[in-house]
Amino acid sequence: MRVAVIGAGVIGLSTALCIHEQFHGLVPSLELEVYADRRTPHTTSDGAAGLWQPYPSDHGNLQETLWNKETFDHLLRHLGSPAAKEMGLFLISGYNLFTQPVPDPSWKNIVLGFRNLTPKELELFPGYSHGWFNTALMLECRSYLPWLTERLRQRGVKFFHKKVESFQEVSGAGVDVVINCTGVRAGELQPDPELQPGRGQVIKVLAPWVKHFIITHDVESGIYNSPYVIPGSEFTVLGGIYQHGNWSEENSAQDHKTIWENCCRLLPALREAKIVEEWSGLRPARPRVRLERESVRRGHCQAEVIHNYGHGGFGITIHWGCAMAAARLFGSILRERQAAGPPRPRL
Amino acid sequence: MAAPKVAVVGAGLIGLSTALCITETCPSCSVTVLSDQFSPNTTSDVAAGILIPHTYPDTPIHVQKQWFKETFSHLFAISNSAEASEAGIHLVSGWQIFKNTPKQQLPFWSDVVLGFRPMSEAELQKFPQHRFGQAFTTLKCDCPPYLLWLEKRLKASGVQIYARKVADLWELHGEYNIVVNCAGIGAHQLVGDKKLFPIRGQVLKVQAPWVKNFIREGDGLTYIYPGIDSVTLGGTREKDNWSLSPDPGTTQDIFDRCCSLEPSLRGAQVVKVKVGLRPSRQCVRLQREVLSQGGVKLPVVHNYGHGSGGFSVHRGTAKDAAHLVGECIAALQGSSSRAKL
Repeated sequence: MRVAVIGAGVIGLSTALCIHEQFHGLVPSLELEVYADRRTPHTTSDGAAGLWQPYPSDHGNLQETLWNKETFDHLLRHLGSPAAKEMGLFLISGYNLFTQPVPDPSWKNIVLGFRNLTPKELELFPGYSHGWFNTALMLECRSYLPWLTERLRQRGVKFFHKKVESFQEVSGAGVDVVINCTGVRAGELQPDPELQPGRGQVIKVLAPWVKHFIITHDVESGIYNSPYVIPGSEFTVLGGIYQHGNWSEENSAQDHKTIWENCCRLLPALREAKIVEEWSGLRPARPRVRLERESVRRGHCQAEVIHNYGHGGFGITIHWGCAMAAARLFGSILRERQAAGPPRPRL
Repeated sequence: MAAPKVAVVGAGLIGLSTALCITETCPSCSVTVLSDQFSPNTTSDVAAGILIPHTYPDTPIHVQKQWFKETFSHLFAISNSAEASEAGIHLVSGWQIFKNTPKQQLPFWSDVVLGFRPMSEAELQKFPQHRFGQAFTTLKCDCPPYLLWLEKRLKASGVQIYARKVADLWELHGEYNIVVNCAGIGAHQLVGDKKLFPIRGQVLKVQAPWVKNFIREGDGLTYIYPGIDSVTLGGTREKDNWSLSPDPGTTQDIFDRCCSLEPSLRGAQVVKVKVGLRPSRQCVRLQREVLSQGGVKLPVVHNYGHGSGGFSVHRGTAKDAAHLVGECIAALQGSSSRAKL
């Protein structure tokens, strides 16, 4: 059985690994292939700071909250393992700041040590009247994606550095199941008006004295349009841009100014930080994640497609829960084939 | 008295911060710092510089708390300013963990640090051998940056800093009106204080920039303190051990103890091994003394013996010492006007 994963960002690689881990033993003929025109360090995932944190409000989407929890718990279990450093995984504490009272987030019991900020702590952040403190996780994709890639190569998964133009291109070549992890460009394979780019820009600086993440929120500007500072293992990421519908991957001087001024106001010592890099990326924004099966048929070609895209600005946060869900969908495809198809080796 | 000439002996954390406080409270003073050691070779440079107080058995708790509060709020303001990175001051959050629940669950400083609270069950799961813990956010002063920043501020205030080994405080009596003794462990020899003893500490400075939180075992023997350029792993507490040479067996033991608390440290490269002698005493010697020899008097202010708690109380004790210097000046001016009568 041939399975093609399209996309080698955090979603594509983790879904591939999840499926291979769960089904390789059951389906000895399983051949998994990953197709991508962009690989680490050039994917959208690579540009993200890597902080595990869902949006402050889940808008009642319990399914996504569960996937977030699954991801956090999965990563937490890996924290004490020798692989953690190679994965780019570590604990980090920090602050979420608000200009007005807000309800506790859906993830307050997922993260560690969640609490409200004390008045003395709020003195650090003039202009903000409320906030949260908690310990969460960082998963740096420039380490995690190579780690996933290595795990997949060791399992014999093949990688193809090419752009897939249509589902038929792979299904016509004999692939039985296509996993669509194409992120923001999923619309090129199948139009999806609900999928829009949520353009972001970040400045990477050297500021090793910063040990906490600081995420500010402004109800009027909307998510990610308020400054944030996220210290990584090498660089600190400064951000605070979210432009819905903007496809430009070019760095904007105006956005640079916005990020720099806002972050330096938040943390005056950042003025001394050396700027190392600037990057723009397109969050694959969608009202909800598209995670479902679809039979795609054209002429004699039929393929089962599992869609797994549209993770917005929380791909890293939700990735493992979605990979497991995609694997469950894959399992149901296998069961159907076993029931319907010619005799196969026992599943 | 025109411009009282004050000599501060010692250029570690206590000497430099005391000199600075003296320039602040007594702008007319001429202050000179004399020391045989400077950053990065002082005892202060070995320490991680984390603000978690040590308890001095013979100092009233309210005094220790006041010193800590003074120090914490002073550094809090710097950490929040544009000078934070140059001064080496930064906030850090983490956990103090105990294998057995301690009797004293609320230390005297719990309301001075930020967000102090017991650790949750989920947080404790990271430390399977530990039953109880406290989570909080505190400050860290990285050395050399902090000491170099103090030196810079001193020079900007017109303070002279000289390399000089002072073998006896009397050496200074002709040139200076008042001597401030911030010699740390050096006071054992300098003023013959037999109540002062070293508690030897060995630490490792490692490259582990992914470690963002501190972890400290309640007994203070094992700790992981992330700094700006390195993470400090410790440590030892060896009373009356004067050896400044790193011990390789101890290095391995510290590394293993820290890795058992934070497994990811196995991948960390050890950059440096350092040893410091904590200048320990039952209480900090913070007092005036008038030395007398052949009819000549020399006013001295002692400010040493901070042991494991130097960083946590340095600003508070420096301010008290500066206040005592003020008293010395008043006494000198009083006696000089009496001499005129």
